[in-house]
Amino acid sequence: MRFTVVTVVSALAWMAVGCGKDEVRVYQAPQDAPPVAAANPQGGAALTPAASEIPRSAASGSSSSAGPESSASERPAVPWTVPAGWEEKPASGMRVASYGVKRPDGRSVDISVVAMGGGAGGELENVNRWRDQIGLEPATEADLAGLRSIIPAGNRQVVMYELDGKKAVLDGKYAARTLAAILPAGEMTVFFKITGESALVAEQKPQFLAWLKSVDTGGGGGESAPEASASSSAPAPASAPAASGGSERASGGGGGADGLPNWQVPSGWKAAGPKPMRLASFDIPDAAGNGDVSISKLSGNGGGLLANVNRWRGQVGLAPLEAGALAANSKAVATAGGDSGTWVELVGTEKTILGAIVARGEVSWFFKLTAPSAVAAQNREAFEQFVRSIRF
Amino acid sequence: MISKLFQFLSSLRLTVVLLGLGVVVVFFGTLGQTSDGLYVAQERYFRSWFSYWTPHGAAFPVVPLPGGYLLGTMLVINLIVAHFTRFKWTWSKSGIFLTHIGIILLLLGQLATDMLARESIMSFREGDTRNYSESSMDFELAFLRSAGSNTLDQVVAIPAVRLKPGDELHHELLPFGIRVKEAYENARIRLRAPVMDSNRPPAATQGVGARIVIDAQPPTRTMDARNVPAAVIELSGPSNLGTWAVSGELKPQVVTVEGTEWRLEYRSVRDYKPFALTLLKTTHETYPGTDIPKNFQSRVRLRNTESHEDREVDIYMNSPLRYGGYTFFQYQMGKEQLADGGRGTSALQVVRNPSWITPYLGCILVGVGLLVQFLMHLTKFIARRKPRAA
Repeated sequence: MRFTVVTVVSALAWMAVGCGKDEVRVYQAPQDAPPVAAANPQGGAALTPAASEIPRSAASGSSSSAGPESSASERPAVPWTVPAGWEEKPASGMRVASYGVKRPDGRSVDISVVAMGGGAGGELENVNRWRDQIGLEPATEADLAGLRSIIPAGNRQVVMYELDGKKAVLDGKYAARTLAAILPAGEMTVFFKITGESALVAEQKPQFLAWLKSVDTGGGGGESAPEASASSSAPAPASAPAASGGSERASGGGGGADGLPNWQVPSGWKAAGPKPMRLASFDIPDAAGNGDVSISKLSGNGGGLLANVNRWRGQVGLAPLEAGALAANSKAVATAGGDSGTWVELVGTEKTILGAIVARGEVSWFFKLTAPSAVAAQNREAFEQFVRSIRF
Repeated sequence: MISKLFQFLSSLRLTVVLLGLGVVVVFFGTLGQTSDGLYVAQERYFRSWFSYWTPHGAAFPVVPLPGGYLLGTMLVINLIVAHFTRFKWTWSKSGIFLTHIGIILLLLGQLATDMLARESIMSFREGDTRNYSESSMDFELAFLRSAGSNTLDQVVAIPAVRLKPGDELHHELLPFGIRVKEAYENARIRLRAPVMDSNRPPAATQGVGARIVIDAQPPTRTMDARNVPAAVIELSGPSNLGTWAVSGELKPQVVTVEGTEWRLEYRSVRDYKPFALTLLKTTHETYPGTDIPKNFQSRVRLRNTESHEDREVDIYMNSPLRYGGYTFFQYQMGKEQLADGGRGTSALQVVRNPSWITPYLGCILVGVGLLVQFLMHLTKFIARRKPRAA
């Protein structure tokens, strides 16, 4: 009798003990090895590799990296012709430029230019990401060949993918289509993409291809292979640099053939390879740290003189100026072509930026030298001469 | 009244009914497995006291059933009570007693296994070191912060079953409260695309959540696929910390509260061990000309800093590593699918079962008991025949 009771009670007790799985556990554990992917500077997380293209440039304008500009906040020189009917939209997040086309019946397409560092994840991963966005199953490496074609972009040949989603993924009504071209450019990769309602994308395809043809890929020398060579690999003698991998700027300058003014290039400056968002670049090799000269162009006033100067000030660690202080902190400079520009010298703790901003009608030109302060001081005279030599 | 109860509990009729019900439960449990999957069917029909079976599309439970615990418990009670009330303790029945004790041991041992045994998976690539194994089914929302020393973390882990939409959770070690806004049993994370998701806001306001959307998926019930849960939680501490999206697919995110960094990770439930295994090399052989596996072999390095052990061990099919109360079986093997040629990967099944010996003992007792009983009958039979022959 007692025995039975004991059996039943212990069975019930066992049942109670077994249900410990829902408790919150607290313990101490050895730390994991640090994760492989880089963390977002805001202290957030990276996604799993298949979607890991969150670029460093998300922190707009605040990164003070020496060397090539990669921040997305610098409005790009617009080195292409925008097709008719494409509305410009504010560039945001990862995008260098953004356009859209809308139809009255609500259909729309979205055109974007995105520049990312390095290989930007690899071709297969990017294609599968685009496929996923329009409701397609991922492709394998073998499928890629059937999906890609080679088209001209500027004076180069690049890979383009045409992805036709069949499912009605837009507002539950429309199928989507994506055309995406991949342009390797020096250390970066630039993606030109149009995506949206299927028929509208097909209709805009000729414009898209023409737009790609109009992109200024920066090479007077031109390359037919999709791979761009790295920057400044060519020796550049004195005043007539003849770079094999990048833009050639003899002392006669670009001669206006690709929209660039003429100028006199100081000795010791090497023409650097094509970089997105710039029309031309030069490297000033120096043991103390290379200097970087960039020439770019923005439409209108490029955001405003003060805004740009303050952006540069931020990049060397200087506090921004109030509106009234700009006049005292800059001077006027005249160019050989008769234009007038604003010259600023921004000396930070480690780096210096020398810059000249020339407004010419509908566009503003930016000529900028970034270098460690000692190098900048040495080249100040030469840079000023360079600016004064500009003739549009 | 008590004696009537004992009569009922010890009756052979009860035994037959219970065994019959056992057959019925197994039948419906097998039917249920086709729609629920193995794991859920086991929980429902066998790790329970009562259950029911519903045919597809029926609006109400059609067949009520006793659960596995009820049947097992009743069988044990029935057998034990019968021994004390009906059976006579004579030597001639000793074999039967042994057999019955073996059966009781089997039943009780299975209950102990069910309560105490833990199975988990340790998966790694060549070169990785692991001092923990992971549950193949259960997830936990883990909050980690540095525990002072450089190598230890303080972990507060909330089981996924506790995350139901609308729930509010607090813990004394967490400087924030957690409100669960959304919870998904199975979901995929996707970067938010500008055109596609223009009418869908980002999943959360902070961290990775601000750039993604969560696509709910139907829960999978097959053996080879796994549910990856996701949730959106709101953290509120001294200040509102915003909403965060967590998922088994995402890497840890960081929340900073009053200067302390907390990492938040929705991961498989972990079981830490006081020793570590490093996968040195994987060997995957198939029979020539086929895909049929011939040998899966992992060479691991076992390191236990407390007992100063450091040795290399081979784990392969039918040759597990038994160490520290755990048994490591070679479970799966593969290769990373990377463009530049991946490393070999190996998954070990880690089993901890303190009552592993009960099935052996139980079966031995049953076997010995039967043998004893038959031998006794045999000798008696032979003895009876001999005088007649004379």
